[in-house]
Amino acid sequence: MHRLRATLDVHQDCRDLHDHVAAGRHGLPARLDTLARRRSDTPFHIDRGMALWSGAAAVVAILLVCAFWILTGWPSGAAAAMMVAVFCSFFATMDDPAPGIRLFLVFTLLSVPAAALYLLLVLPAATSFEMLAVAMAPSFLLLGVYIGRPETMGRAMALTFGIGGALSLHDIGSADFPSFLNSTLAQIMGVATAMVVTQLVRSVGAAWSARRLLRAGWAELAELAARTRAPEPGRFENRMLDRIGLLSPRLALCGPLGDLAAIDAVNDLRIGLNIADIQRARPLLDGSDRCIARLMEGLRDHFRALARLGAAPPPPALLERIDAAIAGLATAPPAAQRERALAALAGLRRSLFPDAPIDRSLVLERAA
Amino acid sequence: MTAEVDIAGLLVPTLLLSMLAAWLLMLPLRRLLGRLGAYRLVWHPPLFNLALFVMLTAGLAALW
Repeated sequence: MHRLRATLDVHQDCRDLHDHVAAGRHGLPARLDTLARRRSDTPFHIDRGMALWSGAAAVVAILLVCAFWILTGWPSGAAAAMMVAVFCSFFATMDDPAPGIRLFLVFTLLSVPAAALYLLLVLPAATSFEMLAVAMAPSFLLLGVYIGRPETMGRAMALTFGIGGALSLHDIGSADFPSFLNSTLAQIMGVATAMVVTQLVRSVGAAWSARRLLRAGWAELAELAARTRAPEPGRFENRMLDRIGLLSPRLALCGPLGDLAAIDAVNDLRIGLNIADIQRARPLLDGSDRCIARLMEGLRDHFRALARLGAAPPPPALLERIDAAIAGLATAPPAAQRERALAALAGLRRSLFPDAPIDRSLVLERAA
Repeated sequence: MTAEVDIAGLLVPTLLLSMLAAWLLMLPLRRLLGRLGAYRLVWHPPLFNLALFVMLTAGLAALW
């Protein structure tokens, strides 16, 4: 009953959201907004391994550029070191930062003529602040407009950094061609090194990243099954939903690639929610705890194996343990928790073994 | 090779010029290699490209 009510609630929420989006309104409808805000309080999926890896790539790139700077004794090497650090970090959350850095490199190169024009011709001729402002207005206002639009934001930002950076590098007022050339070369060298090191060491494919997310999900399911106390509501769902959101574009990008073709991450979410329900009901059901404990052990082992070795169908022994747990619960005295645990077990059976036939006679016999 | 060359009053390091020339050579070379299918035989294409670039730079610097 409780599950049916929950399904109807979710269906109504979806219809509200659909009408809201169709009417073109911004933000979320009031009731869903409070729900979403409450959900956002607990942490989402964090991948510390990838963060460490991105940091290591940045370290390698910075060491390379600084070694070059020290060995050649080139004064403008400082600008190169700064640029390489910035650009290794800028796109670090993407799977493959290289195309983003390449875009920045191309548009930094394109900004060089405009920067040269400003620095060498316009700025020396500007004798007061008003003249300076008027001289800078056309290009910066135009760039500002392009930064405001999402589709041109990346490119316009690269141009702005290029021109603005070149102008500010010479606040002492020495605008001569050699120092401009040196600083521009340093900038370009920094960005190019960031791109090359990223491509060599850091770029990962969508399939690799998708597998990593799936394994993190399975590891969390194993941990959920191995717990002895009930999990706090909301935390698991947040992390799993975040993972699903991260997985969808990557799975779409990989296409039908072998072992990733049949992955249904939402099914994993359902399994996790059912396991959490059973864990919550466990302390209140004393009689059938042994069957449920065996089931939890089986689930924990299965998901640990998945996290280690990759996708595999669940073993038939797990189906027997689920059926044993259901039969065991059927003998317990009727209570609200028992109904919830039974619903969760049925949901679990359906998610893990969607095609397994139900032997109703077995369950009815035990109940009688 | 001479360490620096005088272009219109600026002293430009010749290594920089060889790197620039090597990069310009790489652009059509990469497309050609891609067309010939060499990148399917290579383990790590960006590493291969970098190695090729370094070899071209060294070759051009030796010539200069």
